[in-house]
Amino acid sequence: MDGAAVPRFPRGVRLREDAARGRWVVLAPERAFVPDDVALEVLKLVDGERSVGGIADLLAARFDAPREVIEADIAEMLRDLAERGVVVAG
Amino acid sequence: MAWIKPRVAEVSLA
Repeated sequence: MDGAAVPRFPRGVRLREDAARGRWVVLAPERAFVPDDVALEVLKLVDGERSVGGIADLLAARFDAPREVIEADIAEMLRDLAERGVVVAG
Repeated sequence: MAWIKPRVAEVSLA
């Protein structure tokens, strides 16, 4: 998943707040995933319109790290999720 | 805010 890829959640997968446990979860058929704080900020920006690079731009303004590091980490995270079928790249 | 490599953990629904 490179900077130009546009990630989205496929049908049946959604990011949801689990208020009872005070956390967010990605719910997929038969499976669930719990993002850490930074991963949650990434997933909240996955809308099927923003590219990986666009997400990196937004987060680089909020986090204290070089933009290229942020983009590389985001791409790696989303690639891992894509292998699990939790996101797809458009 | 500090950037920490983002991670997503799979949890067992069971």
